[in-house]
Amino acid sequence: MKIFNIPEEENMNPGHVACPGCASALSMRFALKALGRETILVVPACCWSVIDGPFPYSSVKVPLFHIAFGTTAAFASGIRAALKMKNKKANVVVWCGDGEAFDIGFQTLSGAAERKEDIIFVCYDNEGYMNTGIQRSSATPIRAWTTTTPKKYPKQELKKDLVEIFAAHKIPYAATATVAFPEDMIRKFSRAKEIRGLKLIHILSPCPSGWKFPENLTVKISRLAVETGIFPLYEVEYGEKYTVNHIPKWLPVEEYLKKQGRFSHLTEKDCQEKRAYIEKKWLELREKSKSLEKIPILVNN
Amino acid sequence: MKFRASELPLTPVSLRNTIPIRTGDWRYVEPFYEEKLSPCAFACPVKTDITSCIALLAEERFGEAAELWKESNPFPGVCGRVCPRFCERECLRKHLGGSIKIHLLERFIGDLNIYVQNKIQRNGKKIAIVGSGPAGLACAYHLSRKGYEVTVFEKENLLGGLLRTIPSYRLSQEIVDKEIEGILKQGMDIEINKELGKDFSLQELKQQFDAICVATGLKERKLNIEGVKLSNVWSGREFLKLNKDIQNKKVAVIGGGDTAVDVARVALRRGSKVDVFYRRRREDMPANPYEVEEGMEEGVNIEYLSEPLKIEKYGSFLRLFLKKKADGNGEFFIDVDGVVIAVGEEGKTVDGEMEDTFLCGDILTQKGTVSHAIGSGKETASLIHEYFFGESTLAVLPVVKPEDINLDYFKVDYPPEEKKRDVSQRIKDFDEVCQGLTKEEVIKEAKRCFSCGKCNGCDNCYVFCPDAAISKQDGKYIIDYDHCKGCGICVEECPRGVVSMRRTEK
Repeated sequence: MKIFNIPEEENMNPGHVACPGCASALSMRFALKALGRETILVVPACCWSVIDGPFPYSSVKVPLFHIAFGTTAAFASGIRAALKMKNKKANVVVWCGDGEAFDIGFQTLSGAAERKEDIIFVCYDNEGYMNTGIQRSSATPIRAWTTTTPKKYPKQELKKDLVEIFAAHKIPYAATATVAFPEDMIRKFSRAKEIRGLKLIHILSPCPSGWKFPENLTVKISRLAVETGIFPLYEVEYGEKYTVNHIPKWLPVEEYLKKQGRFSHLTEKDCQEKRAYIEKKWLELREKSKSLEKIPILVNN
Repeated sequence: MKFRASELPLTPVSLRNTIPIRTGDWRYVEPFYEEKLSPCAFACPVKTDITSCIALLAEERFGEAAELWKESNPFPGVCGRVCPRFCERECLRKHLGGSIKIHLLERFIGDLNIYVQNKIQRNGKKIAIVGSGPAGLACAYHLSRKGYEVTVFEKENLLGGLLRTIPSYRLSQEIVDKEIEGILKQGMDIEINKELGKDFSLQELKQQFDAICVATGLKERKLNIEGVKLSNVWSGREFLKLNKDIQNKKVAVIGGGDTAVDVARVALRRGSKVDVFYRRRREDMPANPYEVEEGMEEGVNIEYLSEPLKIEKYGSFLRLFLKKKADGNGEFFIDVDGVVIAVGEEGKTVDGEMEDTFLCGDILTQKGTVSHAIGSGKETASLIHEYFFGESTLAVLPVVKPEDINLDYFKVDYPPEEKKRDVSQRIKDFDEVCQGLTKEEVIKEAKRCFSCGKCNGCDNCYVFCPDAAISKQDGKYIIDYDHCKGCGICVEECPRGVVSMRRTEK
C-alpha cells in the first residue's frame, strides 16, 4: 500500500557526495523525476557544486553547468537564448542555495523575472551558507544560531519572504515545497514545466550539519516545518491567485524548534514571538487565498 | 581520481557518473530489512501471525487469510469468541482510535469455515495424545500436519474437553463441532470413551507408540469449608453439565474465574437470582473482563472481598456464611437454594510416572485459557518434531516497540461498534450474545491495522533515500551498500518498524 506515488524514473546516480541525510540531494532526486532527462541545470557556488561530484564525475543524468556566484539567472537566460537560436527544447533549471537566491544572485533573478525569461528557478533553502561553514544569510530565520550569529547574539533580523517578493514581480508561478511532501513537490515541478515565463520554486531543505539535528530526522523536520505552520505549502500564479496546498495540523512550534541545535537557546518568549510571526503569515495568506476563508489558524493552542 | 590544476583542461567536462565513488565507506551504521513480530502476535499465546492475516483480509483475500490463520490456530471461531484478547491489549493503535478488534476479525475468519488441506507424506512415527481438549486437539492437528500418525484418546463420548463446558451464549457448540471436524480432516485416529488409568495405562501406550503426549488438564480445586458435601452444593463443572431449569431460585456462586462467571450467567438464564462471592477485588478477578462486564449488564451481582466460612442446611434452603474482608466484624450470611463452588483448578489429573511423555495444555502451563492451551499444544507439537528430527520450527524474531512506529503516517480512526443482543432478550435464551462483523466492516477494520513489523510495500524507504541507494526488485527493496551513507532516514520514515539499524562491520 503506497503512501506516496512518485515516478519510477531515476535521473540521479548514487555516489554523489552530499552529507548523509541531505535534503537538497533528495529534492534534486524528486525534481529530476518530474523534469525528466530534457533538462539543463545551472548551479552556482553552493552545496550542490560539491554534491554533484568532483571532476570527472557527475551524479545527475542531465547536463549541469557549474558557474560563478551571483550570475545564475543571467546564465540561464543565456542558455535559453541559445536553445531558442538552435530551435531546441529543454527545461532550463537554476538550482541554487539560499545564498544565491536571497543575497548574491538576487539582482539577476529579479532581472530575469522582469524580462519574463523562460526558466525554472529553484532555491533549495537550507537557511544559511552551509558549505562554507554555516554563516548567516538573509534566509536564516530570526533568533537562529549560525557561526556568524553566535548564541549570545543570535540573528536579529527576519527572513526574507522570497515567494512574496517574486509574487510582487507578477511571475506566472511561484511555489513552496519541501521533501516531506514528495507528491506535492513533484506536482509543482511538473506544473512549472508546463508554464512559460519565470517559475520560482522555494524548497525548504533541512540541513543536519547546519541546523544541528541527527541526520535521520531530515524528513521529520521537514514535515514538522509544515505541520507547525512555519513553512506553508502554497503556490501563487501571476502574483494574484493564491492556493494553499496543505492545511497544517498546528502542532506546537516547539516540536520543530526543540529538535534543532540552532534553536536550543530559545526561550519561551522567543517561541511566543515565532508563534506571532506564523500567525501573521497565515493571516496574510488567508486574506489572499479565497480557498482559505474558513480555515482556523490555531498557532497559539 | 585526482588531478593537479595544471592537468585540467581549459573547460573541464565531467562525463562519468558517480557510481565509482563509494560513499558507502563513510558509513558506520547501516540500515537493513528485518521483519519483526508485532506486539499482538507476541502477546498471542498461540503466536499467530496476526498482522499478515489482517493484511490479507484488507485485500479481501479471505480464503488465504483463513488458511494462514489455521497454519497456527485451528480454532479461530472458538478463540475469536472466548479468548481474553491478549493481543488487543498490546495493539499499538490503542491510542489512535482504539485497538484493532482482532477478536472480531478472528471470529470472521473462523466463521468462513475453510478447511485447510494436509498433503504431507506420513513419516511413520506414531504418537498417542491423551485428552481431546483444545491443547490435545491443537497438538494432534499440528503433529498430523507435520506427517505423524496421531491417535487421540478421550474419556468422554464427545471430543472437545473443556470446550464442551463453555455455555452456548458465549460459544455455540456448532462452531466447536465444525472446527473439530476441520482438525479431524487432517487425518488422525480417535478413541472415545477411553480413560487413562481405567481403560489403558501409560505403560501400555509406551509399547504401542513412539511418543505420548498427555493433555488431560487440571482437576477442579475443592474448598475446605464445612458443608461442601451437602446436596445442592455443586462444583462449577457439575453445575454447567446439569441441565434443568431452576425457576425462581436463589443461587450463590463462590469464585471469580471464568467458570464462576459462566455458572452465574447460566443460572441467570435458567431463571434464578444469582450472587457471586469473590474473596478479592474486581481488578484481581482472573475471569475474562469482557465476560464479567456482560454478566453485570445482565444482572449478576458480584460481592467482592467476601470469603466463605461454612454452609449449613436450614430446612429446605442452604445458609452460606461469609466474612467481609474490608470491615473488621463483617460476618454475614445468605440463604440460598443452591451453592456452586467454582474456585479454579489445581492438581494434575494424571499421577505417577511421567517420564518419556510430553505434556501440553493446563497440565503443563496452568494458565487456564483456551488460547494458552492451543498455544501449548502447538509448542509441544514443535518440541516432539524437534525430538524426532532435530528441526526447530519456533523462530525467534525481535518485537516491534512503540517507538519503532512512525505515527505521522497514521490518522485517528475508530473501530466499528461491537454488536450485542439487548440484555432483556439475551437473558431469556442461550443464543450468542455477541454478533460478528459484516464483510465490509472486516475490510475497513483490517485497513486500520498498522501492520507492525511486516512490510506492506509502502515505498517510503525507496521514496525518501537521498542517495538513491534503495531500489525495488520483484516487490522487494534492495539496499546498495556501496553507496548507502547510513543516514537512517529509511529507518525513521518506515511507518511500521521494518527497517533496523546495525553497526557496520569494517
